[in-house]
Amino acid sequence: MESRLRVLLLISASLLMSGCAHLPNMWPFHRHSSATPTANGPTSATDTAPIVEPEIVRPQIKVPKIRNSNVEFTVSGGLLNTEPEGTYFSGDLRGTYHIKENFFAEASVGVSKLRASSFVNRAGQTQIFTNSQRRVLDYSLDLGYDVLPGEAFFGHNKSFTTAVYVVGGVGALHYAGDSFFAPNVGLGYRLLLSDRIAAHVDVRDAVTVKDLLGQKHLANNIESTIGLSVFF
Amino acid sequence: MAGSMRRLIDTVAGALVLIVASLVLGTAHAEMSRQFDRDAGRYVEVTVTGPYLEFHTGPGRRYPVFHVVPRGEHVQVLFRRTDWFKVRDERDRQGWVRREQIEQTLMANGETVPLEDPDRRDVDALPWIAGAESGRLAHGWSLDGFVGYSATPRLTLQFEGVHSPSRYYDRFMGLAGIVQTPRPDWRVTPFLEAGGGISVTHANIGSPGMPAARETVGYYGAGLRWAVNNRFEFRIHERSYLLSRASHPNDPNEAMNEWKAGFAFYF
Repeated sequence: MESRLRVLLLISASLLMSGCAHLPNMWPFHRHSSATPTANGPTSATDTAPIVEPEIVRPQIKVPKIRNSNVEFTVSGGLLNTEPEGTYFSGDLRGTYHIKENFFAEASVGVSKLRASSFVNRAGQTQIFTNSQRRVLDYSLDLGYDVLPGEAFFGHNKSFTTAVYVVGGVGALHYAGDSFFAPNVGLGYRLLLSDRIAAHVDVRDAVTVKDLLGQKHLANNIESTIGLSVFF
Repeated sequence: MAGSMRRLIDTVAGALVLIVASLVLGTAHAEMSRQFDRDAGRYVEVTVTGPYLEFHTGPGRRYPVFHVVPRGEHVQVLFRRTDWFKVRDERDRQGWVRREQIEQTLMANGETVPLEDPDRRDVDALPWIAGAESGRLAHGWSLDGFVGYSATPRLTLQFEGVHSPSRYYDRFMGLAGIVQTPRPDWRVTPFLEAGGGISVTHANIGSPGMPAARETVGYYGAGLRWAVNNRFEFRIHERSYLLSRASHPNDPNEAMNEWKAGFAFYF
C-alpha cells in the first residue's frame, strides 16, 4: 500500500513538474525571460555594454546669418515744375522695399517752395501766397518695375550694374492752401556704385486737377531729380 | 680643387634652400592675402553640390552670366537681395547667384542654407505685411498706407494711416483693426475687417473758417485678396465708417462709405 501510494505521489509529482516546465511559455507576463541564448553570441545588456563609455561632445557650429539687403533709402534733389506757377528747386526722401527680382514698392515725401511773388488766380480772385502757402509738400506711394536691367562700362575694366525702371502710383500734393489727389508715373535710372550705394536719375509727373479762373483742368507737376541711395 | 668644389656645392645648396623657402613663404602669403580667407567665419560658407553655380553680373535673370563655379568648390554668401545672393568664390571673384542654385549647396555641417522667406500660408513664418491703397472716401479721394502683423494665416492685426485730400479739407485717420481671411490657401480669397481709430480734419482754402475737428471712428468692411505669389497680392474692398462727432450734439454720428484697391507685400 505504502509503495503504491509512493508510486502515485511520484507520478503526480513528475506530471506537475513537467507541466511547470511549460508554464513560462504559457504565462504572458514572463515572455521576456523566455528568450534563449542563441549561437550567435551573448544577448544580455551587460555582455554588449562597452568597457569604456565614449564621451561624445558634438560641437555647436554657429552659422552666420545671411544679411538681407532689400531696403533702400534715397535722398534726391532737383527741379519741380508746377503748372502754371513755374519751376523751383525741390528735395525728396524716398524709402524703397525690393519685393522681388524686378518689383519694388516705394514711399516718398518731397518739399519745394515757390517764389515770394507767386500767386494764384482762382475763380477770378487773385491771391498772393502767404509764406506757408508757398511751401509745396507732396508724397506718393508707388510700385516700380525694372524694365531694362543692364550694365554701364567706364573704361576697359570697370563696369556697373544698372537698371531702367518705371514707377506708378498715387499721392497727394499740398500747396497754396489746397490739397490735391495726385496719381503719378515716372521713369528712372539706377546705377549701383557699390553693393550698398546707388545713384539715381528720375523724372516723375504727378497729375492734379486744378481750377484756374473757375475752370477745372489737368495740370502736370513734373519733377526731375538726381539722388544717392543706400541699401540696408 | 676639392675645397673649391665643396664651396660650389655649398653655394648651390644654399641658393636652393633660399628659393624653396621664398616659394613656400610666398605661397603662404598669397593664400593669406585672399579676402576669402580673411573673411572665413564671417559669412556663411557653402560647398557647391549641384552641377555648378552661375555668377550673374547683377541680381536678376536678365543680367549676363560671367563666371561658373564647378561642383566641390567653396563660396561665401555675402548678403541677399530678394531671391538673389551675392557670393564670393575661392579666387575672390564676386557675382550674383539665384536662389534655386543656392539651394544646391551645403554648409560645413552638412545642412542646406537656411532660407527664411515670408509666406502668407506659413503658420511659423508669421510674416509682416505692408501695402498701399487708394480709392474713393465719401465724396473725395483717399490714400492709405498700412502695416500688418499676421498672428495666424487667417488673422492679421493691421495699422494704417488714411489721407483724404480735397479743396475743402484734409481728413487724416489713424486706424487699427483686424483682418480675417477664412481661406488663406486660396489664390483669390475673401476677407472681413473691422476696427477703429481717430479722424482729424483740417480746413483748406475752399472752406475758410471751418474749425479743425477730431472724431473717433469705427469701421467694418469686406473685400477680396488676390495672391499673385506667396509674397505679393492685390486687394480690393469696401468699408463703412461711423464717426462719433462730439461737436455736433444734434447729429452725433456721421456715416461714410469707402471703396479702395491696392497692393500688399509680405516681408
